[in-house]
Amino acid sequence: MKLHRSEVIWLTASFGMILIFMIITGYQTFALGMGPPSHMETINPQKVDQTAPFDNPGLKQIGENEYEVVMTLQVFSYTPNKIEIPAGSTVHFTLTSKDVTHGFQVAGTNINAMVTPGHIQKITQKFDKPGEYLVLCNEYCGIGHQAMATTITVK
Amino acid sequence: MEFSREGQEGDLEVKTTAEHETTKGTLFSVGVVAAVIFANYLLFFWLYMARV
Amino acid sequence: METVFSTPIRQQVTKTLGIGLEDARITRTYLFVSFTALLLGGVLGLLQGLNRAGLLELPTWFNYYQVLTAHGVLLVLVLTAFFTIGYFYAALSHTLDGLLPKVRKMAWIGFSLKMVGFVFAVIPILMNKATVLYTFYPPMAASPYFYIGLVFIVLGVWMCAFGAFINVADWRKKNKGKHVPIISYFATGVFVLLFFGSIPVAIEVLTIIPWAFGWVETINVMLSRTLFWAFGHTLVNIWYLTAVSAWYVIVPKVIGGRRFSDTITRVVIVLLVIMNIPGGFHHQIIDPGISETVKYIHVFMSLAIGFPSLMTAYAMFAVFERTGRRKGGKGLLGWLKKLPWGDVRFLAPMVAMLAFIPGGAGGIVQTTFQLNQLAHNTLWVVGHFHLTLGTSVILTFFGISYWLVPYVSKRVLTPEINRLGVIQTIIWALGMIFMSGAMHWVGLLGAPRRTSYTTYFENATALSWDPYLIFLAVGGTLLFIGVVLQVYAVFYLMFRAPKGETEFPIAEPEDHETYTPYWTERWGLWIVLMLALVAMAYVIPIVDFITNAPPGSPPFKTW
Repeated sequence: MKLHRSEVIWLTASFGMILIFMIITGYQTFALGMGPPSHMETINPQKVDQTAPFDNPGLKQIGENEYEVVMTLQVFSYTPNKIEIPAGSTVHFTLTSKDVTHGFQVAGTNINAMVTPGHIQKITQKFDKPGEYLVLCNEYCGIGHQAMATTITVK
Repeated sequence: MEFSREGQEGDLEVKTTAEHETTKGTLFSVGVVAAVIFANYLLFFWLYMARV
Repeated sequence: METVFSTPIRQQVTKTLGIGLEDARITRTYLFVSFTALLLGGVLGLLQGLNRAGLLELPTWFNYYQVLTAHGVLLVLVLTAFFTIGYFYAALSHTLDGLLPKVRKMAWIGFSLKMVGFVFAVIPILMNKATVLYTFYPPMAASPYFYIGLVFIVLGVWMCAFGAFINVADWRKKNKGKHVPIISYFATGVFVLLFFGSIPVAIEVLTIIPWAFGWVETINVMLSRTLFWAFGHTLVNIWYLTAVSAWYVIVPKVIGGRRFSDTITRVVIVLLVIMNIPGGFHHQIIDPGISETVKYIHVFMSLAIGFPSLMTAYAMFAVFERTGRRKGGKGLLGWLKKLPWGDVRFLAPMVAMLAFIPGGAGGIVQTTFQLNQLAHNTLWVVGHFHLTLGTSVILTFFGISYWLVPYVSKRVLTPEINRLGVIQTIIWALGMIFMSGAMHWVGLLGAPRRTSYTTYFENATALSWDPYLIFLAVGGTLLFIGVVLQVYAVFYLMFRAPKGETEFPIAEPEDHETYTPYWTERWGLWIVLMLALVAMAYVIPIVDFITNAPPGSPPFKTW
């Protein structure tokens, strides 16, 4: 097997390209804490309503410009529904599903997480720009999937 | 059905002249491939950072 | 144009009468099913495209999600699996001195198992009892018969895989020390992946069936998801590897050239086989219950699969350049003009390869960890796999059909059908530019995949996607026209075209090529390496899913 010189150049470049992508995302993930949502806690999916913190879902202020949203996802809605927060807030979402797998995506942001029954998922986002953000389910969950949505209003 | 190695009609005479063996066009083409990959990556990276 | 109808075809007649009738019947039947699935899946695709753009309301007795389930099963399972098996069985027959009688029988048993399984799977879909999409994520539970159907399909595929192994092993015994012919080497790789890749889904389905019947109360959701993607990801890569076989072996012959280095071709196949299955985790980058570290390792494995594809990009351009220059192409890109653009057997796979440039680039970015958050489960992903699967793979299959169908039907490709094929390819390319382009764009704006037309209660953001979704419908309509033309071409070539002998085009290696080392033939070693990599990737997360499992989920029917 004799490789042409230009092929060696190309394969080196290809490998370098892959390496660069790995280094950048690795740095963002492990040094800057920007990794994808990967929360490890579990929960009994049939007892969500009786388990803290999901026995009391809702929006809670936990600091200056910092909020926590404890939210349950179920066919075909989000609880709490219609959240309002001031601009510049950082919001920590704590999510779980009461039935099938749902998605938690906020259009125009990096919020995108799978919410599977039996697992607690967490994702954080800072909302700087005022406006109405569309929250939608992006994992097919049944006949009303296309109606599973709510909004986050940033004022 | 086996193909014999001796030339089929339509097969080209294989001459190994310098002009035939150059790979500058190939390098240019894979360069375009690399450019598409990087452009796509930069678009995503920029969009991700803009939405952080 | 000349290359299509030049003399080699006639030469063949004097040499041999081509494929044996019994072998030909196997491939012809598989291709018939494959293109029938294309027609049905195409109709359903059109319905979806029109609905998604808000132009068509689907009736309640055949809703969007039923259409989507059937579209997925027909096109990503039936069309592809039947085509791949039909194509490679013809290749085995052609290069390994015919199929063994035992293997032919296995191909037919496999065919029956798959058809039975298919009927079992389709009836619940039509009755709205299996509207779970082709990914059937628990705890959504379809009718148990849907899963039983899937078991039969997997068994049918295994039967064909074992048939291929037996035929290859038999040839190797009779031809000691010789390399398995390159196209059969591809076939071996594909069937190895088909067998090992479908083991996870077999396990998944076997755990689902007792749960769907109600004999077991709950199921481990994350384990099922992970087993599914160990299979699902491998599956699409198998179809891709099938297309790649035509790029390396068939296309160089069609353009009148020689193929790329035999050793490197075999190395690419081995790499794609070894590294494939662990890639499945990139479908779960934003799932809970898998640590960032484990996911990061999988991101590397996913990106690593890009490497053999980048090797392929070089190989293909090198073959084109060398051939074009030998035909007198000058300058930096003059060789491009010397390629037979008017020959559908070249044009279709060429457009397929070109589509893989943005397709592959899209694959790289969306698998790159947190960047996945931009694209995951949006229409962007649908745009992506309509480029990779719907264009790179399928258009290559179309290109193959223009010689494979006549080859197994003892007929010839006519200039009219060739012209039709060229037009079909152009329509397909345009349709994909519109549809996939629109999908990529609205996906980045946030439009989700697998969702029927919705404005989310007149939400302004959702309404702003509508203008782009029209392009999706336009593209979908063009693609439907493409489907009709393609199916017509295939059935014409199968039943109506003039009788004659068509060649199975396999390119020769370069004359000065050095001998391919025999270690490339050590499939036992490749399989051990593959299993080692699968173990490295999956043992930790799967043990974690089982030992740290939350209480399971009961079945839900949410449609």
